[in-house]
This record gives sequence, C-alpha cells and structure tokens, in this order.
Amino acid sequence: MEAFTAPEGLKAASSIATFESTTTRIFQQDLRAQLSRLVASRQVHHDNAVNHYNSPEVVKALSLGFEWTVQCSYHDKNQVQDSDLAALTDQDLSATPLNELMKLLADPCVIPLVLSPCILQTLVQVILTFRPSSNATMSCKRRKTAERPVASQRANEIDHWIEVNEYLYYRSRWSPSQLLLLQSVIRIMVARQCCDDLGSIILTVFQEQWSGPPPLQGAQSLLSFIKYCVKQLEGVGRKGYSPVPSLFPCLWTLVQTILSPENNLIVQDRSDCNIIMCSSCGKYIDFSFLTAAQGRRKRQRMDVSSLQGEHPGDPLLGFATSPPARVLQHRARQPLVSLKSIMEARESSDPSCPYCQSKITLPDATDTKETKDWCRLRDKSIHTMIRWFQSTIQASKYKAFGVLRDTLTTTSVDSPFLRLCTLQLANIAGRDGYGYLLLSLWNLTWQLANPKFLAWYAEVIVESSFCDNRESCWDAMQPLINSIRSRYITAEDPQVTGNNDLPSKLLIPCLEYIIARRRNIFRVVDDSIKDEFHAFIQALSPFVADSTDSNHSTAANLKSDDKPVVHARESEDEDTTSTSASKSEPRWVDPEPLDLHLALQRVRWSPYGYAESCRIHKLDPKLLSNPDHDKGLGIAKEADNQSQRKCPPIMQCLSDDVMRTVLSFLGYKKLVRVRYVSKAWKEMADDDRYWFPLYRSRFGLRHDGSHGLRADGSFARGQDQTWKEYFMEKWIAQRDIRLDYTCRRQAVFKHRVCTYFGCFRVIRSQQQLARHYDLHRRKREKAQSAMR
Amino acid sequence: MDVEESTINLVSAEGDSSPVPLSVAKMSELVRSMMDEEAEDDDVKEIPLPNVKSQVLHKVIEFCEHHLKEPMTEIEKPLKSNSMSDVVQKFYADFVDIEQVLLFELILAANYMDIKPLLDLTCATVASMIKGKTPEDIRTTFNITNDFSPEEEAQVREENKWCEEA
Repeated sequence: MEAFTAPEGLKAASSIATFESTTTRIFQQDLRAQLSRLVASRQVHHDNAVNHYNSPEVVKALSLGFEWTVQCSYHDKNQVQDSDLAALTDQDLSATPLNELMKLLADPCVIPLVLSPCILQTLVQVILTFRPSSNATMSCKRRKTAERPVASQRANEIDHWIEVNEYLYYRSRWSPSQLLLLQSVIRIMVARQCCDDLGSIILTVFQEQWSGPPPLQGAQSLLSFIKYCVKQLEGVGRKGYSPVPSLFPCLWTLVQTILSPENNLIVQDRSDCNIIMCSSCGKYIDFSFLTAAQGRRKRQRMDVSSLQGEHPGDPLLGFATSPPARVLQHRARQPLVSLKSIMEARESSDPSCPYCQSKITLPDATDTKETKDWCRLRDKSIHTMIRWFQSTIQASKYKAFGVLRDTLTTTSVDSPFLRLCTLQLANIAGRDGYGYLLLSLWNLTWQLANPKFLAWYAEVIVESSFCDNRESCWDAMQPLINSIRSRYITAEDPQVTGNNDLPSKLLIPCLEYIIARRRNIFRVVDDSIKDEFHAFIQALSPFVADSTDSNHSTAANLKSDDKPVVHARESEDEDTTSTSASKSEPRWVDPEPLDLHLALQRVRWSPYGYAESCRIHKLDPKLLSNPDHDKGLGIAKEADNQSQRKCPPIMQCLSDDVMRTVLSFLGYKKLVRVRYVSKAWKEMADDDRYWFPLYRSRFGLRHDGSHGLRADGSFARGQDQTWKEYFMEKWIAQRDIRLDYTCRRQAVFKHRVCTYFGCFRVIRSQQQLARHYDLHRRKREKAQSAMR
Repeated sequence: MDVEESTINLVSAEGDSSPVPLSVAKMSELVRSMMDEEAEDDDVKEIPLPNVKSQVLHKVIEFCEHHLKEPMTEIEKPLKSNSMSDVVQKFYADFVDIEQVLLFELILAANYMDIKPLLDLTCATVASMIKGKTPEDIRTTFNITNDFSPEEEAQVREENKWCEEA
C-alpha cells in the first residue's frame, strides 16, 4: 500500500466530514482515525527516505485539523456554521506551519477544551520530529547569517527569518518554538490527564533524533523539556493524580547517556560536582551523600571507642570498636565501601578511592568548558530525576517503588549509579516508603538470582533504618539474617555459589553499622527481640570464622596464628552477651537529641512536627533535660503511662500533607481564624491550595484574558498576588456593596460586583450589567485575535 | 476460576493476619497496586502492612466492608456542619466517634493504605473538631503550644481584620 500523504488524507477526512455530517463528533472521530493511520504509516515506512512527519505539510495539515477541532469545540453540540468552513478553507497556507500551531496552542482558551489524547500525543510526536523543509535548508546555505528583520519588513520575510533560524537551531538542539509548542501541548495533556505515555514518546523521539548520545545542546534542551514536564506534573501530583511512571525510565536513559564513556566525564572538580568517577576502578563515588556538617556529626556518633570506657561491660561495643582480626582482614579484601570511608575521602585533602584505594586525581585547571557543561547537566538531570521521584512518592508511594523496581529489572547494566539512586531514593522515601523498596529488592534478589540486589538491600537497611523504630528495622534484617544463617544463598542459588563470601561480606559492614547505631535502632529493645538479637550474634560468630576457613583458605593460612585469638574473643563476647542478656539489663545509651534530629532530618521525617521543623537547629531545651524525650518519637508510640494518656500534639502525629487535607474542609472564615493557633498553622492556612478553590467556588473563574489566567489557577505571566489576596479583594468589594445594599432594600436589581477576575466594577442595573459584560467579552475576543 | 470470592490476608504490625474478601481489600489503593504488581503470581495471599496496628486494621476493614454495602456520601467542602452526623450517614458518624489517638492512627493508616473515602471521613472529622472551636480551644484539644509573641499575635489580628470586623 502506498503511503498516503498527510495533507491529502486530512483534507479528505475534512471533506468527508463536511459532506456527510457537519457535526463535531464525527469529524473528530475521522480526524483521529486519520492521525492514527498517519502514525501507523510512519512506522511502516520508517526506513523510507521520506519521513512523513518531517514534512512541513504534515504540520500544516495537522494545524488545520487542530484548529478545526478547536473551532468545533467552541460550537460544541451546535451545528458548525458555514462561515467557519469558509474561514477554514481560506486559511493562508503560506505561513510557517509551526508558527500557526504555536499561535493556536498559546491561546489560553484552548486548554480546557476537550481534545482526544490521541491527537495530543500525535502532536507531541510531530513537534518533536519536525525538521525544516529542504527549502529552508537551501536558503540557509545562501544566507549564513540571518539578521533579524525589522518589524516594518514584510510579513513573509519575518516568516522566512524564523524558518532559517529554526534550521540553524535544529542542527544542535530543538528550536525555541519547538520547545514552546511542546510546553503548550504538555500543559494541555496535564490538564486533560492523558500523559501516561509521555515518557515513552519522549524516549522514542529522543532515540530516533540522535541515534546515539545526543550532543551537549541536544541533551540540554531535552533536560529542560523533561524538567518542564516534571514541574507541570508535580502540580498535578499534589492534587492526587497518579504519577506518570514512564518518565522515570526516560530520565534514567538520559542520565545514562550523559554518563556514557564517550562524554569523558572521568574526574570532576569536587567543588562543583558531587559525584566523581574513580579512574582506576570505574566506580562512582557520591560525595553529595553526606554534607560536610552531617558527616562530622555522624563520625562523632560512630566513634564508639569513647563509649567503651563508659560502659566496659557492653560486649557489643567491644565488637564494634575492635572487630576480630579475621573480620578486619575480610573487610580489607572485600572493598564493600562504607559511608565512613566515603566521608573520609571527602574530607581529606588528598583523597583516595574508597573502593580500590587508588589516588583520585583532581581535575586539571584547564578543564574545558564543555566538560563542565556536561557535569552541570548531569547534576541537574540527577536532581530532576530525584525531584520527580519525590513528587511521585507524594502522590503514591507504592507506585513510585513499582517504577523503581521496573527500572531495576529492565536495566541490565549493573550501574553503581543506579545503586546510588536507589539509596538516595530510599533516603527520600524515608520511614514510610523504604519498606517497599526493601521488599522489592528482596524479591528481586531471588527472582533474578542477582546478588547485586542483595548488596543493595543491605545498604538500604543501613542507610534508612538507623533512626527507625525497632520493629521495622528488625523485620527488615530478619530475612537477611535468616538466609545467611541457613546458608540459603550458597545452598540453593547456583548463581551465587561463586560468591561464597557474599553473606559475610555483606553482613559484616551491616552488623557494624547496626551495632554502632543500635542505640538508635534498638533503643528500647523488647526482651524477645533482644534475645533474638543476642542469639543471632551467637549464631553468627562461628559462622563468620567458618566461612572464612572453608572459602578463603589462603587468608586463613596467612593469619592462622590469629585464629584461636579470634575464637577466644568471640566466645568471650558470646558469653558476656548471653550473661548480660540473662542477668542484668545492659545500659543502652540514649542517642544525643541533636544526633537524632539530624538523622531524622536526613530521612526527611520529622517527629517534632511542622512547627519544630521550622526552627530545626534551635533545639527545645526541654528535650535535652527530659529523660523520656524519646517518648515522642515514632508514630507507633506505646502509651506507656495509662494515667497520662493525653492526646499527643497533633502536628507530631499527622504529616503536613494530612494536615492540609484536614484544613481543606474548612471554609474561608475558619481558615482565617485558625491562623491564631500557632505559627505553623498560620503558614498552612495561607496556602494557595485552599484559597484558589475557595475563590473559584465563591466568585467563579470568569476572566477576559487580560490577566493570562489559566483554568488551573496559574498565570501565564507570573502572579503578583496570592490567591488569598485575590479572594480578600473581591470579598471586601462585595461586602461593601452588601452593606450599601442593605440600606435600600426596595431596589429591584441587586447591586453586585462584576464577577470577572480582577474587575471590581459595581453594577447597579440590568442594563449596566449587559453593557459591562459586553465590554469584557470584546476585550477577550481582542486578546484572542491578538494571540492569533 | 473460583465461583466464590477469594480472600486475602492483611497482616498487621503485630503480625496478626486477618482474612478479607478481595473486593474489600482492593478499596486500598496500596493493596490494589500490590495485587496488580503481583498479578501474574497467583500465590500472593498475604499483604504485610507494617505500619498499621491490629486494632486500627480492624477498624479499617470494618469501614471498607460497610462502604461496599452502603457507600459513604461524598463530603462537601467546606464542611456545612460541626456534627459529622449531618454530613455523612449514621454508621460513618458513629464510626469516627472514637478516641482522638485512635482517630489519628486511623488517619495515618488511611493515608498509608491510600483509602480515599476513609481519609476524607477522618480528616473531615478532625476538621469538624476544629470548626466549632476558638483558637484557644483548638490548642488545648490538639495539644499545641502558642508560639506567637504578643507583637506577632497583634500582627495576625491586624491581618485577619478584613474578615472579622464585618
């Protein structure tokens, strides 16, 4: 079948529609059918030299079709007027097609109109793949430097100028008009909630456009576009619309492309960029993981040797400060990097790679600008990715982890970078979220028989759980511990049999962290858990030695004289552990409040509530003196003292999001009164998210286009007032009228304030109302025609 | 295919497992997405809910079961009345007539399990508690400390003038 050309197809569709029926619906269906055929034909003739989408004719036809749809929607349900048809056929076809489309899409009235998802998606594809016609290429060759024509020049010259410039832009990136168009389409798609395939569309186009890593400017424009999408979607995400899962893989591909070896991003300046790749082992080291201040704080907490003097009877402290020699040896051989070593590398002036111990060479002063740009781009894209993920988590935690899991399963690359993302995401997800991540990783380990996920699992536990309540931490540790105890990995999984040392390799750092931080985790250890924990330590100690013996005979031979010592110490540890468990309660050291605070901040979960988190560094003095301060921590608190069963402070129990849901049930008067309660409440009560719906439900959202107001409450040209202020203005204007009106009840026409947005004209008669509204209507039409 | 409806076990934080009909459990978006994830794997019969205590989970299940029989009327925003019985059916008004601590835990569970009607109901209950009270009463009910200085309080009063003097 020969590929039909698009304009003819569309023209045919429109003529069919005109002849058979002039109702909107049938035409729209036809157009849709034509568009999907276009998509199909494009796929069929993909290797054909002529790419149908790249021809300006398609864009032109589509813009016609699009405008037609828009016009039909204006006359929704009515018969299409003959004059409209005439206007459509008399369109000036010589204008730059992208421009036409742009004008249409920039019209604020288009957004709320009903457009089918198919049309919108096709539009995105068309815009993304648009290339200037060969005419433009030719003329561009003739006129290398295209000067901007002055306004007095003829319109077609300006069009030509635009075309040429678009060509010049295209060679390296998307043209600004393409981006603008895309943004308009995205806005519509978001408003219509039909952007589920957005990520995959971008991805396809992205792969087709460059067929390989994009050039710097291409990647930059791609990122700016994705950022725009994320920003738009973030707004909707808060309103409860499910996130767009396909964007994450899209972003991930971008990051991977940026990190591809061809881009040569080996070593970067530590001051501008937090992620460095070691040149000898090829692993990425993330310095942004711990900020300097948090790093210092953590090191203090991990310095257990000072605690040993205070609590000489605590065997676990002894294990943490001076691990058995074999354990140390093990660690030296297995460079599973610890946060501490990353931290040290960060802080030392002459850093070495925590993985392979080789020196990290700092970048030369003669770094090219391009490399720096790439770095900036990479950092930005990572931040976008994480920011997007954060908003996804806000909308639905489980979906977010589903997305991450999909990415993990589909990505065959064992990228340390993805691991990094996992960890950072675990951090962002905080207390409520990472349980799913753990579950996913755990399942993945066995589903894919891939030990890499097991390593991540251990890391995620360590990273996220150290300030958590003991139950969930213990639950997370349990499967790991059990499987190691029963040697599940070595016995049943053929894939991992080569890595016999894997369990101990994972477990040792794991244990080390948990012991170092167990003051947080096992703060108030239940007797059952304590026993279990001690039993586990007992069961583990011989296992570590045993696995070392059987699998690493070389290591065992080298240090064979240490062996009895190790055993002796371990058995001693065991003895004291069991005796202390059975005889006397070991004194668990309470964490410093500041430590806890920082730790909780790090997982973005503040038990101190909204008000306190506002002044995070000024700690409550009561907290330091009150020995029961940890009572307030954790949502699953025990009501330890029945007589004192007073309601806990609301802000500590409910998250800000939930509080916002609560306040959204209040009317405007109550919302104003609630501001007296406390600073945090005052701040929450002023949120535009309540005031915009209140404005809309009380005064409606009529506007004449002069303010650039959009249907979702945002403004085309930036907003200089909050919605609360708009509400106040209108409300006060109405109140004054009401007061005025009560004085003369005999009036037939009820005096009122104009309902248009931003207009406070008082209307005193029916005639005046008609005249005034007519004024607004004209203004609106003028604004629309100016836009065209 | 089974004719009778299959059940699924929801496991609370304490480890108690409660069998629940699938249609009831699927009111939770969390459970639903977990089920969808594991769609190909028919053996999934247990959903762990480590953040939900048994007592709360029973309340949640009670709500979901009733909601299937008699769906809750949509709660209007802003609330029209201080009493929940004017806003929703009797069952639901009685359902949230509980201790404040339990109510908060119910909110957290609804938020965690992503059950929109339950979240709406519980949040609206808290809102109705706020609605009929003066700021001082709100502080005592929800145990909030007044962190305004006298000057700041005067400023808030000034800012609130527009709506209160009428």
